[in-house]
Amino acid sequence: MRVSLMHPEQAFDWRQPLPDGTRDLAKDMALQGVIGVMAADDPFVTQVMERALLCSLQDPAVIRYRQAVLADVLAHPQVIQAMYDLVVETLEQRRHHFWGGLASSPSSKLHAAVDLIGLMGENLVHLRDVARDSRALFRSEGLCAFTLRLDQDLSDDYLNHVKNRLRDLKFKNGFHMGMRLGRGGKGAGYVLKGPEPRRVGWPRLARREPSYSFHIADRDEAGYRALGDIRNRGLHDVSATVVQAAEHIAGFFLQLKAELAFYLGCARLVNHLRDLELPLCVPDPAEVDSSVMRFDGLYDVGLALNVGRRVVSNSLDADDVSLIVVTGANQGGKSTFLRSIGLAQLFMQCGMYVPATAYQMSVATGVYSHFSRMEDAGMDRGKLDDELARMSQIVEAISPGSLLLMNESFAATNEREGAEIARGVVDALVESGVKVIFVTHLWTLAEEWYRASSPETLFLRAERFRDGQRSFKMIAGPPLETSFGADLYRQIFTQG
Amino acid sequence: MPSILFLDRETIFDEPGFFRDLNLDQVTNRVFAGMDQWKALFYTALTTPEAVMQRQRVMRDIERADVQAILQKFTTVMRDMESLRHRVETTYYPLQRHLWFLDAAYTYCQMVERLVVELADRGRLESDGMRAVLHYAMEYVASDGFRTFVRETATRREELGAIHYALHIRGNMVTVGSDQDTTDYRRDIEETFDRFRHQTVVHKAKALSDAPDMNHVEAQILDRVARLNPDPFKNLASYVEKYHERFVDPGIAQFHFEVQFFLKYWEFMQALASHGLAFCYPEIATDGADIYVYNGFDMALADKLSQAGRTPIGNDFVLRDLEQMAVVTGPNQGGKSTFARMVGQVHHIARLGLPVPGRRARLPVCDHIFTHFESGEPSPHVDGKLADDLRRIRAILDDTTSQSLVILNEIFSSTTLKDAKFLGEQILARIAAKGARAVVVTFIEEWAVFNDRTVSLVSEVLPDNPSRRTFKILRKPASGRSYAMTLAQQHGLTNEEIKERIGSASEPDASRASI
Repeated sequence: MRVSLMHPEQAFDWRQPLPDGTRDLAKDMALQGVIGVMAADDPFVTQVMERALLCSLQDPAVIRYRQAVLADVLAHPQVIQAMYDLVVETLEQRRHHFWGGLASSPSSKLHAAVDLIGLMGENLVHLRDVARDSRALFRSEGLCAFTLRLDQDLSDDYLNHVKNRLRDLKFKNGFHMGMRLGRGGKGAGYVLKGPEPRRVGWPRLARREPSYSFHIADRDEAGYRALGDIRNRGLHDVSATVVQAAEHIAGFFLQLKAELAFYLGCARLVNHLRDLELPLCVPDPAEVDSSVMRFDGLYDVGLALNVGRRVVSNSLDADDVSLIVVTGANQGGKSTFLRSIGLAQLFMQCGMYVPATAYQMSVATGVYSHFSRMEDAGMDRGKLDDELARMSQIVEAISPGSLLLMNESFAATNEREGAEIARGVVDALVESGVKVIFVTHLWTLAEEWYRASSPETLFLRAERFRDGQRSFKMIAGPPLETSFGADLYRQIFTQG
Repeated sequence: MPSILFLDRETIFDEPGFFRDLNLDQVTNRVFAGMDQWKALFYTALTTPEAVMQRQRVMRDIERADVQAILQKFTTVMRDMESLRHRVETTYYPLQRHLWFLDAAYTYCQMVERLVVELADRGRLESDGMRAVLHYAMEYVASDGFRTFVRETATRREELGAIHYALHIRGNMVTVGSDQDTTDYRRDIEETFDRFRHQTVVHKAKALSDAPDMNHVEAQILDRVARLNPDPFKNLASYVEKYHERFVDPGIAQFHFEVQFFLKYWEFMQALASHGLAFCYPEIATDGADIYVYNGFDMALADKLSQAGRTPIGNDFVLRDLEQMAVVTGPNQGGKSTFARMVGQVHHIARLGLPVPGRRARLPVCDHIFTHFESGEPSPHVDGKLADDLRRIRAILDDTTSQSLVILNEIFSSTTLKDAKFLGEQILARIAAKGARAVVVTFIEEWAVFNDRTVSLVSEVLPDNPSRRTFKILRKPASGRSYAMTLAQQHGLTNEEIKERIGSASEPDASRASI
């Protein structure tokens, strides 16, 4: 019984390890603050949101599939919340009803699992009833199919059949098993043949001949232990199967919890931004190889959440551009600009709406960031070495069609050397099909690229007015030599 | 009985003197952890280029992934078989003892037959050594004695394997009977819950642990099973009687011993290779021309660093034409001793016929490797120590020939400068006269131009940050490359390498198709 609310075929894996390099990416994008709002500090939801955001979708069709479900969730929040509550309650019961861990014997595990399945079965019926009642409300493929599946797979007939099975599995009259000689003459290949029929007296085996019986002496404790051991071996497989079935049912609830949590998390952020009267749009993802890059009114959602109001936004029309070089004033909004793109791309590729008035982008095969880090990385490693090591890890993981956001990379050495490295790295990445947005002070290099005037390179700079004021907007234009550090100096040292 | 080691001298059981200085003792302990018998093979250098090249060919055969897999499996199974044989000796219940014996015999037959079939199947083996082993094993497997043994073993197993029995336990009564019922209740249960099957949840049912020994209940069950099936057990008893003496062929046992020498070294290499470190087969230098190893590294250091996920910096050691002596100077902690160890290690490993740490190498088969490493500890009895040192060096020089390698590390560094210079020059002159090759690590820069056959090497420092060390040992004059680019290169971040890295990762099939 699939959940499939986040992907038409696959279960969303909320326990997968985060891809290489995403720890840096999350840090550089200040993702934690955004996820904090989405998850309302629930650790489980945090884990789900992290995976959803950092394990990006790459198929525009699947992105749209999620967008549609999200629309349904936003339209009927109370139904989704009711399902979620039911799921949480069920999992809570299961937690109180655990079968004693790995150490307990197959027979005690079997008993516990049979009880638990009975318990969860009751909530499955409730869940099915909710689905039955709400089916007509939904428009999205994901929710329509899910509610239909619940209704069909959990018929009354089937649920009765399960009930009978659970009764048999208590083995009131013992059971009977077959096996062969294993290594060293010990029993092997234990196969449980089924419950012993309800009959008094001699076991059914003994009526077939020939057979030999023996007794364990009353005081032979070791003998009884050995016997219990054999009995457990007989029950082992069936016990494992039933425990597995219980796990599967619990797994279904858990999966449903994760996928509902994702949408509820998205909805929480959407509502939050709507309350702040900040714009959101349904992004338009294009195929990986399409080279589309267009947006309007894009803002850094993390910053907006921090200050609780509208922040500066940017627009761009850069189809077919593979390298964007951003130069200009310090404190001019360049990092914010990079973050707004990174976050929007991650949002789009998890199915979430995007903080912009319009957002049309090619799907990236991966989003990576290389931000200069001011803090010291360790005792035995220089800053440049550390930067190079991080870049090397990115190169190891990155693939054509990826998006790389570079912020003041290779500023840890002098400009001549920094430029020499950056030129080699950026050119190679772009030639390999990676889209690069590079915020840099390496003016000589930027100038060199500008003179090369490739149609695939776009130059932006942080806008600055004559009086030194900044708009925090990025405007198209050739690289500027000074980085306006003097401005900053004046601002900090002459004001106040 | 064929050998793949081609030992051309007696095995040396004592660790050679230079092992400790070169940290080869640490390498030995890593490669042959808990395998003392094999360590002697690591101590014993081959003495002729022919023997070295024969071993290299064996190693090349063994290194092939397919052959490697076959041999790894072979040694694993061989060890299993030995532990089964041990179990036969220690088991209490006779019926069980017989069954263990059959198990050991079957494991052995299977393993030998599979070894022959798989090795013969893997295309041409290139080395004389491996070909001889294969030839030997093929004849053995085809022999009448072995065929009969295999046949009887199989028959015994079939008879016993056909036995199925049923068990019912009620209260304290156990009933054993024959079993004809083929139902499996588990399948019914699986079917019932099938629709909840969920790919992301896999229940790991713990396999019940089972000691190999029997308890008395199991023994009684086995006894009843034997009563229900008398013939297979009677046949088994006479089979055990017949083959009770050793059934393992001595030639196969010898191969098992020898092949582990190669496999263990390969595993060690592989562990380092997985961190991106390269090994290579050195070309064996039989004339006086160039000697070199490119990107060589200290294996002991590499092993230590790899535990922390790091790798050492590789260095080049090159002696061209008539060049005879490399004098390494430069600041402390710049990797000079490591460099000297690396040079010593590759020379020893080369004469073991094994791949050396480095990308490309051409090395001689040294008759001796001599090392003298100053401990750096100030000695309370400087005079006594100096005398001891000189005596040791004298002994070294007596045995030194033109085919020897001498490594002197910070020699005389605890005496006065005047003494050190004087003594050092005398000793260098003697080494030069012997025609031996030498690596000399020293703070006395004059030695770097000792004679026209001396090469000067310097551990690199950064002019703007002398505390930073690159661990690069460079031939002076320096290559002129900027420091930053050298660093970028070390991280594989040159333009070409990046493109190659991204290209090769994203198109694994394209590269395969082009072959």
